[in-house]
Amino acid sequence: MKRSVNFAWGLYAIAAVTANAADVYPAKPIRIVVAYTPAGTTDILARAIGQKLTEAWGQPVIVDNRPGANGNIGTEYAAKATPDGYTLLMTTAAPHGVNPGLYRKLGFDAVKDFAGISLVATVPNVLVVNNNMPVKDVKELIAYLRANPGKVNFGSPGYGSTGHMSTELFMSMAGVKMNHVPYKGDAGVLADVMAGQISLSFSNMPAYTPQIKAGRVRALAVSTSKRSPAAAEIPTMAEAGVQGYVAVAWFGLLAPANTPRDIVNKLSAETARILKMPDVHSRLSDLGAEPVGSTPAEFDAHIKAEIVKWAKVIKDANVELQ
Amino acid sequence: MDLSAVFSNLILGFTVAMSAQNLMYCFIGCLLGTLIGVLPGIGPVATIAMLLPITFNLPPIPALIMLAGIYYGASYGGSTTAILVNLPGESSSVVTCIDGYQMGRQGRAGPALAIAALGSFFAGCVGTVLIALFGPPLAELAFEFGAAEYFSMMVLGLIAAVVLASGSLIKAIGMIVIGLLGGIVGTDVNSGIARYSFGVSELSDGIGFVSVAMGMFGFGEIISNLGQTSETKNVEVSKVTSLMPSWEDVKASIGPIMRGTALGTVFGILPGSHTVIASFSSYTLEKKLAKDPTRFGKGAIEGVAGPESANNASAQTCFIPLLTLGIPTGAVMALMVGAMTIQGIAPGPQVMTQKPDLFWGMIASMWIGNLMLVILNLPLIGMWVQFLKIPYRVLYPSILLFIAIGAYSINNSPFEVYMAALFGFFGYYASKWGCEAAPLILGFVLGPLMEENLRRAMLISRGDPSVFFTRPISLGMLLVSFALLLMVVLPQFQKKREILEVADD
Amino acid sequence: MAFHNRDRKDFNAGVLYISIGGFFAGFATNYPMGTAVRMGPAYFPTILGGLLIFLGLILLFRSFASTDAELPTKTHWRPLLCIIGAACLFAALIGTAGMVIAAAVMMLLGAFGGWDFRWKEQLIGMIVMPSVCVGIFYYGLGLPFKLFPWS
Repeated sequence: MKRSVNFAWGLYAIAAVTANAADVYPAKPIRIVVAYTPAGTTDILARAIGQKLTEAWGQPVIVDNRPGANGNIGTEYAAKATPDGYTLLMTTAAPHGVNPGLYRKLGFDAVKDFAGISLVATVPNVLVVNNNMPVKDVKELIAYLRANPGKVNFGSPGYGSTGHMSTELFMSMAGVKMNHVPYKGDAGVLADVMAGQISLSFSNMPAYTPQIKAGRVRALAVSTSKRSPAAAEIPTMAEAGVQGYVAVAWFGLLAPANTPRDIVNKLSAETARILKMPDVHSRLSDLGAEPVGSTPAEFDAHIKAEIVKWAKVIKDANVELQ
Repeated sequence: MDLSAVFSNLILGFTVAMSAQNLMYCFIGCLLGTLIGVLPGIGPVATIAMLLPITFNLPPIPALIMLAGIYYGASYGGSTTAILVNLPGESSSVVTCIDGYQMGRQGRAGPALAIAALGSFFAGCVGTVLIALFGPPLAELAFEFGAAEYFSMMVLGLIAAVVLASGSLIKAIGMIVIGLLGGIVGTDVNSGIARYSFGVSELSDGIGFVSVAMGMFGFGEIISNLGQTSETKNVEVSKVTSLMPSWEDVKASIGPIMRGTALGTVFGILPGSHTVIASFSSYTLEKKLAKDPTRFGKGAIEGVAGPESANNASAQTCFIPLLTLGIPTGAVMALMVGAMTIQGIAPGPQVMTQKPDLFWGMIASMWIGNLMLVILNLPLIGMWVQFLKIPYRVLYPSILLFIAIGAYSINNSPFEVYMAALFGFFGYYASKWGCEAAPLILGFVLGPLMEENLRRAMLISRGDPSVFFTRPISLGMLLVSFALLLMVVLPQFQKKREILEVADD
Repeated sequence: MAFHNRDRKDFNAGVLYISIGGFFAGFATNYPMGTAVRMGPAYFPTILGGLLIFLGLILLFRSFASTDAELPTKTHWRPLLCIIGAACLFAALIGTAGMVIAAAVMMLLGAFGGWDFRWKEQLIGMIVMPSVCVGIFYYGLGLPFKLFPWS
């Protein structure tokens, strides 16, 4: 009896402490780790959210860029940070989607080491071809690829990048083969698709939208389940004939595992509120991103589903592990 | 080419750029860029990345004008540290170190800095005019460049580096090869395999240029200096003879500035090329044209004037692919893309037509920025030179500290500092044994691009090596490389025969 | 060593080139070689490593054919160890003890590498420079440094 009373007191004490933790949180500056270089989409999103958090809570939010190794270095750093809610991570579909299936050895566990706060935004991928390709839509492209197996070159911003994986997923779903030409980053791919050095690429939409609008490359489909408001004339993959194809780039806010639940919930609610603000909305639209906002449980489930999905693509496409 | 349209566009541009607000931001940008860029160990990329957040809350046009100003200021600041303390802020100022630092040691830092500023200004003016007149058609030229052309261009650049060597030819080639090998460390673009990374995740992105340059030029040079002075117990400080270049200096520099500007302009517009090729080939050209090539490496003003002009000309013209096509041509331009995106401008062909005030305003502000840089920096030369009067024993611990902070701040990781220490150790012994750092740096910067483009060209051509010879631009560059190689190798053989058995270094 | 009649600069550089070339070429055997058409990750480093070994051999050969034109200067251990040590200490301390302590320690050890060490000057430098750097980088540029052990 006495024991259970003590136990109850203990629970109460913990509850009081954590409740307190969320009430006084944040009592000092918050640091958002970005595993990519400044001025990239991840960095811009982190700064946009950070600025609004500062306005709401009066504490500075510092963006800490720790780029390298396809996002793994910064993610590992955040995984090992003190779980007190003062270190967060703005992650992407690489460390929390593709990488767990791609790397033999990672310094973090994408699921166990993190607690989801909220999915922040999604960015569609777009399938573009050089203007000289004799195809007008995805159906013609598939027919062309079937007639010329392995003869068409596609570019990607890197081996094992989401662009590479999205194309592998397309090839396995459509039953076609192409020749992979990897680049270092999006700029080289974009320039070479425009110049016709390579024929096709599957990349994050924002960099391509101006080129599509200017008629420098031809867009065949977007990878999302709905059309993108930024370019509503481009059909989805499902509409274009590849049923069930969805591959989006996404960005989300995480805390290290064991961060007090109240703090995670408080951050999640605040992030969702921020993402509904009209000025944040327009800033994200400029990036070609769609604001989302989700509960911690939804985001955790999303990450798990992504890891399973990409692991299967990597295995089916026989992509070499790193 | 519709000249009257260009003219009215330029008037629009200057009205935008000359507004009091934009002039102020341009000035603040140049000033901040110079002040941060001049810190030893902080190169232009780091300067821009650090100062980028300041522009987030400005309207688009002032923000981009200020960033361009920061870029010019930082580039010039990088050249200043190269001349004063032998620290190149970016790969293209490595060449400036060779003769600029020697001029500084001879008490001629003032003329070196002044010629660098004037040469840069001239090159900047030419670059700006070219962008205004021919920007869009020049941009299309970039599409003629595929992997085969880039590979041939890298070959040309590396052969030019051999000419740089003032000592032994074999040792210089060896240092280039070591640079190429060092550049290979990291994730292989084609297979995703992390080569020579030994399970260290920091190494999977390769060794950073800053660690190599700061290690070999910064730490290595300081150790050598301390070692030498510990023997003589006396630090030679050459008296500063004059702050401004003499009439002879100016006359000697006019040709190099012209040629450097031309080279820099050409290389600047090619996406994927590298400003380092512009400045290295300008140095090579000047050394080849000089009546007395032995002066190079010992403080020849032509070796500062040419490369600095080339550097700045390509800094201007590399805006062309970004502004007209939306393609960034390097780390700095990639940051500019980020800045434009933050401002809600999608870089692409439509910027010119949909936002003419921004496009032409930026071009006008380029010219104004270059002018401000000269006005700002000529008086500052006196101040920079004063730093050289500080006793070395007081100065160098601070340089050490700035190098360490600069290396740390690249990725907020101590790893880069360890790498700089390692390269300091290597560089100290290499220079002891007559192996120079500059060719290594060039190999290091160009190596990954060379391998990447060679393998990409072979992938795209399905393994047909004839692409390098059937594409005219590629063939042309390979022929020039071959001619250069003959020019380098033949005199060496003759020299060997003439002075039998005498080591050539 | 027993070789008296040689150019030591060339000899040492030759040994350096051969060891670096050998290291890269040897370690490349861990990676797929590929073919000239589809070059693997080992292709480039193997060729370059071989070339470097070749250049090193020429230097070695040449070093025996001539005597020292100019002796390489002897290693100055004090500046070498102090400067390299200072950089490594800075790297080791900045994450734990923070930038202020790391900077002060680096400047002290670095200054000790010179032959003309003066306590008063260096103590002033150790206080002034870290403060200047904190001002510029932490407050001015907003870089996310850890300043002190407790922050």
